[in-house]
Amino acid sequence: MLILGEIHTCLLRNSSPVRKTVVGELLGLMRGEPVPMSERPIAHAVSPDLIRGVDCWLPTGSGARSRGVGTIAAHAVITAGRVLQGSAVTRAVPASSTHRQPWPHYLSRPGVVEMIGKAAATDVADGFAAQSRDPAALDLGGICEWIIDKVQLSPRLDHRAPFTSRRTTTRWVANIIDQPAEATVRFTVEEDISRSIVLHVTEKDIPAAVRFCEDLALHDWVLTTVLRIVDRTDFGSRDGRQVVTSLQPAVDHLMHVWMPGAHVPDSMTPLWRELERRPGFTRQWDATVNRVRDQLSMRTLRAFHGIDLVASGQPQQLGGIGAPP
Amino acid sequence: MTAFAETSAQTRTEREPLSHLSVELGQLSIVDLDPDRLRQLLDRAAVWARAASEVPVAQPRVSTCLLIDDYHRPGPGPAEVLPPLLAIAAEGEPRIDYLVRESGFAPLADLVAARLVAVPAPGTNGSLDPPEATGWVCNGRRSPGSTDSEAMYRTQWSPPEEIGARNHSVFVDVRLRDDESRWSRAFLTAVRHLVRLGLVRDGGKAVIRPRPLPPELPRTWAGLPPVTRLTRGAKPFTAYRTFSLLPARALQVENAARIILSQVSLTPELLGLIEGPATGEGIHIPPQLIDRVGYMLFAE
Repeated sequence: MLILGEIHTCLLRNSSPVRKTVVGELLGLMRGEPVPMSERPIAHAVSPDLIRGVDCWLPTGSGARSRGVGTIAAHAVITAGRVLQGSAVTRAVPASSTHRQPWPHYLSRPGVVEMIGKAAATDVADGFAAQSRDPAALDLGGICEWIIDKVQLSPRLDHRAPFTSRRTTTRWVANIIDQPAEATVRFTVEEDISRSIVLHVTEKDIPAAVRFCEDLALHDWVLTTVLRIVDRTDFGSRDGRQVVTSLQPAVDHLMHVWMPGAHVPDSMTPLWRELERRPGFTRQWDATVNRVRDQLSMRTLRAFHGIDLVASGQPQQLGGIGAPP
Repeated sequence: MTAFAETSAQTRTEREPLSHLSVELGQLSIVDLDPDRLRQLLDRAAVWARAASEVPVAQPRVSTCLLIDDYHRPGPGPAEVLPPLLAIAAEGEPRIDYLVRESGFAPLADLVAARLVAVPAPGTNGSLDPPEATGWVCNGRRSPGSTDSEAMYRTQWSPPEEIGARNHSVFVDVRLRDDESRWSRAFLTAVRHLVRLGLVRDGGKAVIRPRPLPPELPRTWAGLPPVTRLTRGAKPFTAYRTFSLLPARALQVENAARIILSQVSLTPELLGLIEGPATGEGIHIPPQLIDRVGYMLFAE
């Protein structure tokens, strides 16, 4: 068995963070289904699963034909009333038959796609994790966008983003193993906004793995977005007021969101530890946040003492993270 | 061990008591409540109900119900037309455990409509958004030219197609609600099957709680509960399976209801609330909802 998932992460299109009652309305995507919410240590809410049917080719590494028929479970996640994720997941299992079954067969197992054909699960895993794709193959990203649009188009939002940011897409594959000791993770930043995660987890940890991947995608987006804000701040040629204005979104909207593992079951802690070792998420985060804070402190002090170099016509030389080339 | 929990982060789905079988003895319009007509209908139902109630378990739990359609064809209220029916029910043959009012199920229709997942045509890969709910549900692919002008019709028309047809297509398009937002008979039939199967919840809570007959019959149908218990100590209204006795003319509507039921997606938690106790009793429940629904069709 194989778990295939994709997560798109973006800023909730509202000028300020959204309150809990509104989050409940935004995520009430299925009438009659409650929206689980937790407030501690950070506000986090998940919509009920929406189900979509598919019958299409599954991507394979070898190019072998494998047809997938079944359903995808997708939901939206809002963290800190600020960050929105669309997350689509399915379990790919071998089909018991060589042809498509009547539709109720698939609805009796929501979130399962049956693989018809000779392609091995590992072949499908390779194909799914690969960057290039046949446009006719399974497109979980399309379903993530569908979920995100359902939330972003709500009249409960003012549709004004407080700063510009880019959406990241995180594709993930979990291979199911028998021994819990073997749980592993590989996280790859493929290009500007696309990432992939390959996991090995036990079957009972599948729900925890979904949460883990969503948490990883969230933190990767927060880090990417803060780095971009720092990047475009251009410390060397801007005066104190401009720097503060440029860095303000990071302080107002993002820095408090950083809480890796807060809503992830304990069984996934070893995977977070592995990522902390390499690439060292929190090390990079701490360095970036310290840089933002140091810049703000320095600019405040300079303003206080009336020695803003840029304002007085003397651009400074800077290096380090986010410095202009 | 986790020392911290937030109750708002946890949701629970309420359990409902379950019979082995829910038998629907008939579907009556208000005009059918004439004493002679009623006697004739129920005498015939009694024969089949006895046969249907033979559940192969040591202590079968079978409940019976009778539907009154006060939704599509309104008529005089319970105080005026129910006494003959209650007199027959009091005789106990056939046993009528519950009286079901069609209007009582209309408020639940939205809950079911939200859970419809369309049959995907081959090639559906998630890239395109699913067609928005148009108030219709079909078992396949509609004819692409069917709404175009006559000229288009001549050049581009191709037939609609049942997806998963055995050899030859039987395409059915079912209307869920009309322009006045009134639910169709087919859709309310599907809703009723789901409620009888214990598979409808609102915010995790059960949606129908049978109530005893009020001491005085109300003048309007809205004054009667959606499901009224007529027999003291009746077995639960909800059951692992449903069985319905129907005149053959109801076939069209039942087939439409089956097409709707074939596209209802429920959560694994809710499905587990039925499968769990069934397994505990050593009873096999078909995983597909449609296989839990049985009928006897007779010629009038």
